[in-house]
Amino acid sequence: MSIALLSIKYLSFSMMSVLLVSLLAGAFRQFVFLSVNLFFIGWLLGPISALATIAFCLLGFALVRIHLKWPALRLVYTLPVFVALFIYLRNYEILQWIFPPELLSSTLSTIGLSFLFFKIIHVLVDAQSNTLRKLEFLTYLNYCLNFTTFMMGPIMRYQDYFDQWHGHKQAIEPTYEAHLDAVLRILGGMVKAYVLAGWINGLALQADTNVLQLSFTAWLVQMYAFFFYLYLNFSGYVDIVIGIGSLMGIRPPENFNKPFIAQNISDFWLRQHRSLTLWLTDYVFSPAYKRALSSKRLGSHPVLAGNLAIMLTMIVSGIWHGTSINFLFFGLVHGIYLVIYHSWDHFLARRLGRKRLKQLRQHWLARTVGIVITFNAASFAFLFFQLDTAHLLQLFSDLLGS
Amino acid sequence: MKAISSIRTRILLKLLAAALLIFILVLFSSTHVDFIYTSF
Repeated sequence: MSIALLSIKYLSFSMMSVLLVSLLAGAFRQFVFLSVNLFFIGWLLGPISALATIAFCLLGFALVRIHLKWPALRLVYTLPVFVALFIYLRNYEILQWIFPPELLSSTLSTIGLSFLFFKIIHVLVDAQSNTLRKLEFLTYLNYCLNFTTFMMGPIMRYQDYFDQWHGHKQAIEPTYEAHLDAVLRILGGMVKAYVLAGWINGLALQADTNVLQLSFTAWLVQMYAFFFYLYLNFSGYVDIVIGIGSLMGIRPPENFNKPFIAQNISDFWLRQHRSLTLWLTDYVFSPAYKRALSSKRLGSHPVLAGNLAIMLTMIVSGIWHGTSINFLFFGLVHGIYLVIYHSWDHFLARRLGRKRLKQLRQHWLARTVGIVITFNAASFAFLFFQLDTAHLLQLFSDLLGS
Repeated sequence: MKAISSIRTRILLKLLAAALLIFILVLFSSTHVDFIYTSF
């Protein structure tokens, strides 16, 4: 990426934006914030990619307006257009197998596009289900291009952004101490991302590591170190943007809550990249599960319906995470984990009863075992996240060969 | 009066923590960090 969050340039830009957005009011504040955001994405992506990103937002807005104007129109007529455009712009690896290179968009920078895509899909679906409340063009554009969350989230909801922007909801208490807390959050995030993550990255698994050449201990150390590195890198960034957003009056949602102490894989996803999990639950899992339950074949098998919806959700999650095949595996592995966990949970609940199962879960031994299994399972799955496709395929072929 | 003094102590401690974090950043921060999620 071309912008360092610890640079004097980024910090002065952020603090100037905080001042402008906090001091101004009305339509002028909207225009100034839009100028700030446009300047930021131009700086981050370059002019051509920035224009493509703005066009992507405008297409999303047009589709949202269509749904608001014709509420009976089903998403099946608009959503595929948008999804296809996203797949094309993101230049998914699979496209390279189908289309000649001259037809692909490999020269465009796609930083932040996946986050933007999920934000617009959320607005589109909410517009169709009439839960959007009020759509304003400038508010929508600033919501999409908001420089604090543009690059890596957290995925904020339009309604939450709207309420904070219009002062219906306070981002932080209007006290000196709350503002000092926000500054501390920024500094703490910088220490995580620029000091601690840097240290641990030396130990962590790299994209081109040949896992088979490592001893078991070295493999474990690198695998665990990558989990910590990813956490420090991503949550450090989230701390920085939550701090800046809080000072500006548009606080993004929390995204992490100690994922290392998750007691099961479902709990893990509520602690790790939480805004993504909640988005996937609302816009993939719930509709898929409802649809499965209303079908003739699956209606009488709620556990199977739930498991199929989980697998679909985690496949979408995997594909969203990256354009190469290893991310599909990452999603599949987590899908399998969740299916095993939910099936086991269902089995235990039937055998023991919900009340006894709850008591059992509260026992220290069950909690400890849960944490150890979840930590190891999550660390292992990050192998599919970090290793590139070539190294992953090499690993599988070597394992199968031996 | 006691409550005000407690807030003052808290703020003082937080200012000290901020100074410490800046100190750590100046001394130990990496010059270049790739944010892993920007590639998504």
